[in-house]
Amino acid sequence: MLLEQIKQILGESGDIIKLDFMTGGVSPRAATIIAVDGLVNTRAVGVEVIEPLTLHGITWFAAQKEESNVNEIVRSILSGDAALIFDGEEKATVFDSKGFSLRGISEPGQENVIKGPKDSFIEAIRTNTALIRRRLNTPSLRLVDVKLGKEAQTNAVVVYLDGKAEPEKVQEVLKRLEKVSEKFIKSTSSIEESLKDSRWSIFPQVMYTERPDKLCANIAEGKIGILVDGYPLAFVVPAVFNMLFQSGEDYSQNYAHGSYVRLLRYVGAFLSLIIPAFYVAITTFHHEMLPTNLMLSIIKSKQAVSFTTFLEVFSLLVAFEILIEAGIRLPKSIGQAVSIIGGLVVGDAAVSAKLISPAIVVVVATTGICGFVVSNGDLANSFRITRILLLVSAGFAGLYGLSLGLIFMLYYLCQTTSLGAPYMTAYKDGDSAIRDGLLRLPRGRHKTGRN
Amino acid sequence: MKQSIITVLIVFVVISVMSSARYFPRMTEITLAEPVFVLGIDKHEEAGSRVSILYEKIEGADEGGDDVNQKYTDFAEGSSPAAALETLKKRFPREMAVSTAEYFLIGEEAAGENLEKYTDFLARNNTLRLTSSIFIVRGEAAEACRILTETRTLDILRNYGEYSGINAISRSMEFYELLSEMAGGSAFTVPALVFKEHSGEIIVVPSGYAVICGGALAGFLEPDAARGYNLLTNKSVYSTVELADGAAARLENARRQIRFEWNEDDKNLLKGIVIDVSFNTRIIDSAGHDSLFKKEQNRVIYAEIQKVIAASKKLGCDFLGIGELLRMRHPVRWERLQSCWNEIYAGTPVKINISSEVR
Repeated sequence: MLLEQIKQILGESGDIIKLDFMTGGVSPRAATIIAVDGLVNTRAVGVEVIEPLTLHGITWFAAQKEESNVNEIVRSILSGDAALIFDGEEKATVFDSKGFSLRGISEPGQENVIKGPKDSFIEAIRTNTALIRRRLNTPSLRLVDVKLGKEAQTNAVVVYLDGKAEPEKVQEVLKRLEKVSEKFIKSTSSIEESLKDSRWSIFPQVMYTERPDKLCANIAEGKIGILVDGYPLAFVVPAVFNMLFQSGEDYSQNYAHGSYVRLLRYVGAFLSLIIPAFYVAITTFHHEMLPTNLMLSIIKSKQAVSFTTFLEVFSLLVAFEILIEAGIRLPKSIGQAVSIIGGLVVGDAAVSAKLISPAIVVVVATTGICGFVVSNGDLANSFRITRILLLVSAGFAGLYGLSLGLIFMLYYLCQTTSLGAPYMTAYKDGDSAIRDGLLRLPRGRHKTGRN
Repeated sequence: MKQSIITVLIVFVVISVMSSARYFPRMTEITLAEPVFVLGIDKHEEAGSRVSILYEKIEGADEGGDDVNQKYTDFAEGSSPAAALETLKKRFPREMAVSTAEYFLIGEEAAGENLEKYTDFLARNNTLRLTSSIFIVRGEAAEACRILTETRTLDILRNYGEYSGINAISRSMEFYELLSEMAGGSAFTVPALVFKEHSGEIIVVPSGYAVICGGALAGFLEPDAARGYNLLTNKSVYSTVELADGAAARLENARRQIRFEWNEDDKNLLKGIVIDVSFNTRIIDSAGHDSLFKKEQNRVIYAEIQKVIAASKKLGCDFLGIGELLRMRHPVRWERLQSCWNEIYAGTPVKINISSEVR
């Protein structure tokens, strides 16, 4: 019997509500309501399902459907729906009566802008899809439901504009999401790695955003968005390199300021990659490039330091990374104080103790500051790894090694793809590189729909 | 993935092999570098060339905690300047940073033999800077390095032109300017360094010019002739003239015009050269005879210009650029004269007209 099967599958959990009652009306029947306490809106079920059934033998709950598949019924119950099963029946009526606690729509945590919307995605997928519907009020907006995780069957939605997004790419996204092999979606990486063309790449091939307006802007350009229940962000594919340098602020400011800030990001990113490697190369292999006074100053400042320049830079970079990680984990109340202690006091003490030279502190501090200019967190993390690789190559062969490293990195970026789209497609020619790549030209001069 | 690993491995192996073969830059900690400030080149009779250096080594700190920098000199011989430098580098206990050399000194004998050989060595060394100053030493460059080290008078070179105690009477020249002059092919001058007694010890100071003609040293221009040379060629923004009784004036905005006079019968025959020199004079000290100052000053300047003209004729070398001017103005006549221009110039009378305005 269906009811027995459902009870067997759910087991004896303390939060499973199993209410047996008799319906009223002309032909009273025994029925059972099964729901999960905490997920279901018990008041709605009580007032709009049980009460009218008990009194009149009918119910006027709007969102309901009939389901005979026991697995689907169980999934619905575990999602927050209430299932009504009459004795002897082999089908259930499932009421969409979710009532779990939700966080309210708040300001984005990391992608805040001055001139722009202040709402962001939350964990509930239907609220998120509603935010998108409000902005893209077009019948060509498509939201395809998918289930992720072999056991968890987490709800996800693929969002795209019919007629704008390439159908092959949409099908490819759906295919990749179906292939998510994990039983439970433990983190966003499960979804990201399934969408990537190359899982071993250290550069992000999927962009994430917590802003509905940013997602809608990308969807309007023909990109595909993926929302996952339980995660307050959306994924955008294909994500090409220049997208990771864009920020919502660029488009809400005057184009000149937007272009200036975007160029600043590129310059900051480049400097954060090469400054440590360049410093090691110059001071270890190419002294002749240093002006005499600077060379003498560096020699004097390094006189009592026992370690090589490469070791100094490498160890301080690692210390800086540790400081960043520690800063993330620390409680907010003491995080700032510890950062100041770590940065200023320990750094100063290390210089006084002749463990490192003052110039190295300047180099690493500048590198860190330039690295924070990159707006996309995944790209910034990639640069943190790449910077160390370039440092090692410069430590081997000076500027030649640094050049080889940069060439290899450029080659790697050029042959990376995201859902088949070349990663560096925005820079394929001067025109596209300037319009919405390196600069942000005034509206009306952007080409859209590029993947 | 496998392909990427193989590619990285191949690159790594190639780098390792080429590093061992020294195709890659050599790694040296900057603290091991000892900066060289002066690089001298001389001709050596037995070996061929001698290279000398003045370098600095930090040897600790004094009571106040400041670094005590000691300067030293060293030299080595070799069949060529490059070989001598290599010998010196190998003997050097630490890393010799020649890239910091601010001054190149070329000895008199070396410059007299073939200046191009030594400048070529300096230009081809990719660690040396083209903006270093260059001097021709009236003597041996190695001796100049030794004196600069022992007397600690490197600052004289550093404050060149502004050192109040000794008037350099010459303008500094950077190495790339010398290369440019050599590429031009005509005669030119290079600042000279001389050994001079000062307060009981021998020091090295810039004084006058060395005249380079045909790619080799032809002679030297003494300080009094050098002043006239500076006026004629606008090498100095200003020049100070001192009269016998202590009066002094500063000459500014010197302008020169050179005219050529041709024989009336044969227009291709050069009859004479007229040099008109005009400038502004700012009196520093007239020594009480304002009305005669201008006449006396013009006389002194005339004498100085005469000296430089006489020097150029004596050396048989037109380093004043008169021939170049003739070439630009009268190219057809120049074609007939250029083959023996130095001889023609030596025999052509030069008239000098001086005019000045006293402020």
